[in-house]
Amino acid sequence: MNKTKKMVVLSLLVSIALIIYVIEGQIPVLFPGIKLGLANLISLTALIIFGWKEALLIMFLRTLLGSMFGGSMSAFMFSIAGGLLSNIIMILLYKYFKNSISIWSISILGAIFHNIGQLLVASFVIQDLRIYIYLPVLLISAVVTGYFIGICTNFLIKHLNKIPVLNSVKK
Amino acid sequence: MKKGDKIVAIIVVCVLILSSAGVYTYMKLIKSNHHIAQIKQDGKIIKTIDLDTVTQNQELKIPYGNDDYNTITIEPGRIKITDADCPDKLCVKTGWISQSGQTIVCLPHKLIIAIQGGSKTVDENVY
Repeated sequence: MNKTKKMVVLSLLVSIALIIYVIEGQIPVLFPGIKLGLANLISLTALIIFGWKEALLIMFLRTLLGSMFGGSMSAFMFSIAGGLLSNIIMILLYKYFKNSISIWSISILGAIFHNIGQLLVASFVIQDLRIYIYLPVLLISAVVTGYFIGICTNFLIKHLNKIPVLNSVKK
Repeated sequence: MKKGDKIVAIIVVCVLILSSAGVYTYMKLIKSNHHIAQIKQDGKIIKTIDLDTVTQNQELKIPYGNDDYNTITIEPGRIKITDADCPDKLCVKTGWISQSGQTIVCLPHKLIIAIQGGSKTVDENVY
């Protein structure tokens, strides 16, 4: 019973992340590769409420389905690279530093590494280092969105803790 | 603000300053009066155009694979991607580039158009 409940909750989270991803895709973007990464909000929340395995699972599923819905398979490569790097960093930070760093700092660093991951793959794909010219702009957008996501995550977790269903699903 | 936050903030600001300084220096260093557009796809340079010697407007269609393409328009001194069938069309939205260091990138088609600096490949002026 618990396992099914958990699967349903995780699926719900993945679909919410997908919706966020699709909606943010409509926002006009300045440079190649600025995915605002708003859907990372869900990954971060999952990391805090459930754990690192669930966070990675959600990130992976969301990226896979998201690329099938709205992008090409090459978009998948970029999202996965950024998502993986970003999630790993956030997982490590949360595990070892959760008492000395606020959520929004973790989120900002996660967003920064998300963009760095994307740039790494991009420079490899076009076999050219000049794409790093976009790094400063991406960093600034990462800091801003990271902070915003961090605050949203705080809100979300505060309110999710009030829902009894989730308490029975926690490990 | 916890203790770790301050450290993170300092690191982030440093990285930002360093990368901005790096990019700024790079752009200044390769600034030149010769504007040579280099079109690179899949890691291979497929075309080099001296924008300063262009007299008429030209259009170029660069295929990718079987069905995909990018359409490039070249005018005296500047170049842009006018059409592409990639899903995001960011390359089209980038618009015209004309200065050394500027780039247009189409990631789904592994395409980058960059304006180089320096005049190593061009004949010097004759006085």
